[in-house]
Amino acid sequence: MNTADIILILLLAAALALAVRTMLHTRKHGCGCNCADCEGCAYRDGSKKE
Amino acid sequence: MTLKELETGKSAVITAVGGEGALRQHFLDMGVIPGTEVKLIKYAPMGDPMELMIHGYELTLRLDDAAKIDIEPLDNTAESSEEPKGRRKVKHPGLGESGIFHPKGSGDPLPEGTVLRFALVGNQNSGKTTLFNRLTGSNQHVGNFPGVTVDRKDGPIKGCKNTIVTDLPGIYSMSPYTSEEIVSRSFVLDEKPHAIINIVDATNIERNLYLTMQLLEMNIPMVVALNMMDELTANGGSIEVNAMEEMLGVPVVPISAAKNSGIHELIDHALHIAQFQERPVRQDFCSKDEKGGAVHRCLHSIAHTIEDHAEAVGLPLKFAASKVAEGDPLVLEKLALDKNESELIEHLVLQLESERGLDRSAAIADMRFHYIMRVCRHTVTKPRESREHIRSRRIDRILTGKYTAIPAFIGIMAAVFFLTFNVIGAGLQTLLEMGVDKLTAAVDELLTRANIHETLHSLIIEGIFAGVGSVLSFLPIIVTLFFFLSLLEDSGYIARVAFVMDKLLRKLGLSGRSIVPMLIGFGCTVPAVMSTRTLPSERDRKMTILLTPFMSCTAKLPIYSFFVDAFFPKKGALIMIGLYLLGILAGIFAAFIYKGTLFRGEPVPFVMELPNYRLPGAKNVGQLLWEKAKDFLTRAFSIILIATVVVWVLKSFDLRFNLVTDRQDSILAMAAGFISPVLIPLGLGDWRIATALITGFMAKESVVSTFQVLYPGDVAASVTPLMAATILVFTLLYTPCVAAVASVKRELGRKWAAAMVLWQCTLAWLAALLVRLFGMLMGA
Repeated sequence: MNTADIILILLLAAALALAVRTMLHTRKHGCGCNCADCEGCAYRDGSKKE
Repeated sequence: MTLKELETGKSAVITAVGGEGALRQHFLDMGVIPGTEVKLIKYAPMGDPMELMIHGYELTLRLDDAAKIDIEPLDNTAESSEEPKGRRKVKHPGLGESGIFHPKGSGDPLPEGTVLRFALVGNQNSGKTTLFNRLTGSNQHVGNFPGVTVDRKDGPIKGCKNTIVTDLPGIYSMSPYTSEEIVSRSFVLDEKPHAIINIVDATNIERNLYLTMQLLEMNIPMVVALNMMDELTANGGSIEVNAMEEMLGVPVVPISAAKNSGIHELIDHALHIAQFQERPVRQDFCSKDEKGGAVHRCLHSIAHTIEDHAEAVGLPLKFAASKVAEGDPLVLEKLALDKNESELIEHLVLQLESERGLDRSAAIADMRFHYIMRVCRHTVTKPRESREHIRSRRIDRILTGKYTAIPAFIGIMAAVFFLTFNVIGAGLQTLLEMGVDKLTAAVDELLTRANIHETLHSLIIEGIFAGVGSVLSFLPIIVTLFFFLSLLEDSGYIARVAFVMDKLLRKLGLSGRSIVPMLIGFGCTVPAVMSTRTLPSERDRKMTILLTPFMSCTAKLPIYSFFVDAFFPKKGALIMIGLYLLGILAGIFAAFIYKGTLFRGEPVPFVMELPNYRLPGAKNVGQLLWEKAKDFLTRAFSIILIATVVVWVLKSFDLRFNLVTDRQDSILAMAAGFISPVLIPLGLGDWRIATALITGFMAKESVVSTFQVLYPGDVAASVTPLMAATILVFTLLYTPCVAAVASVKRELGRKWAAAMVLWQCTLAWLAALLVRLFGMLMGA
């Protein structure tokens, strides 16, 4: 394994960590309304779900 | 005679409104009350629902619901023309203006630095989101379809620190009829905003003021924004703002949200009434002189009776009194009245009903509309028929005409799909694919030159670039499809499609509004599921979401092409059309099952307002496209990237995490080995087929690529035509891809998403088994 491999592994790990973070954020704020502080999903049916 | 029997073009006066419960209350809230004049514009092409003109706006109503409304026909030659009466010049009352409404320092100001919370409340399609964008400078999507805002949205007023405006779903009243009404009502009652900005469509003022009356009863500082004043005045109408301000007892500001006029004045008034907590001057709209004063006496008696309970639970007294009189179950439950008090109130209401000759809800609605009519008589000069309405009527002659509506709908949808999948979207997709291929080749070369380890190399090129790249290539199609759908929605056509298709969908237990997600489902299930948010009831929404996967999405096209080319080259078109029809038929079958089991009961009544056609705004459309593209890209580089890496790991390693040379030893093959016995009765017991179907769960296109990898050379050598037919039917009906399941989970929750996956797989298995048995019987 050479230096380029290690750099690439680190880059991939960072990309995956970012992807997981984004996925978790979308899960929490995932109503798609795109606003800064979305509570849309929680209120859609009139009761807070989260 | 009932409204159902009224002839097209004829007018009548409503004499009684039948029905019961929340639906009846909704009729009353929409202005369908005894004594109101109504005109039948037309019937939908299939004879149901009908389009009515009432209180100056167009309302759709099903015939079954119309049969519950009694009418007295009117002679059309004697058109009623109410001239404004008792007009007088009124000095500007100056409500909500510094130092005028009350002497400085005598109010009840909030401490300096308090974050002022505003609720933006108004009818559907009254321009709330446009005003929200103006106030906050944000870019929320604006549509021309009642019910675009299905969630609440927050944002600070531009340039005003310490402010938050919440854009609530459009509602017609504070009755608990739809989930949006409950959301808005709960927000105003429980979260107690410092002030309400009530947006009122000035071109449709009578119905809009009904909500205003109820908001005034809540005794929260409020400013009325008279929107679309430019349209009203351009068509010869006018409103005496000073007189209206005096009669309503709150500041009234004429604005045009679309043209950005009057917004600063509105903000000044809103900030002032919120900071100084200037509540409405009046919350009492009944009068002892009105029709014997029965409503007045009843409401005031109830108010005295429940005063302590309302104070204890923090409900505004006048609002609580009128809701108790109407028999609102949520308010009654909250007040927790004693038995004696409940009986006393019941007697008061019985007396009201006996004196007024109307039931409780109708009497209260009548009182409110009576006051509204008085306000309108004194302050509103109605415009002549607007240019927008004349234009809409002309367009509707074709688009909702008896013989032209369905062909026009088919023509428009065919054009949208043709342009999306064959011309614009497909063209752009080819370009993007070329770009992705070039980038993949360049990265491949770079990795080879850098002498990167072959495992890492494979992960990046065969895993990430192949997986994310193939999904990315669908971006142009999705954006193009959304472009056309946004044009249709913004123009006001989608509301007409719902009107035209309602009767057909009602047979399946759905309402006309569900047609929109179904159509989008032919493109992609993900946006289809998202678009169900505009549906008014949870029942219809859930049912529609569960039906959209039956509409064969474009990602399945490569699978059909692959097998049709390999096995049935001479019957290609027939099989393709047959597969699409089979999907629709399976959807209809599932709908009947849902209707009889999970979703018993009737679809929500189709009481919907038909907006005028408008030219879609370029900024609005562009903004929507950007949001959809961003949303898609976020998903591609998050969930799909992760899933791609996981699949690559599973197909490249064995259980001891040794790199496999033969894919049959991989974890994926082993997992497929567990599933393949289930597929044996279908004649699809080969682990490679199970593997292809599993990868199809990640993205449907992967089924083809996996077949190509696992069956090197000629697939026809290992797979029989009957197996191909079985695979085609199975892939048509089995679980939608992970992105679609994720969107179902996002909308309905984990349990529903899991149940849908199981149900679709079961149905696909049964259908595939039938195909196999039929094929074996035919000797295939």
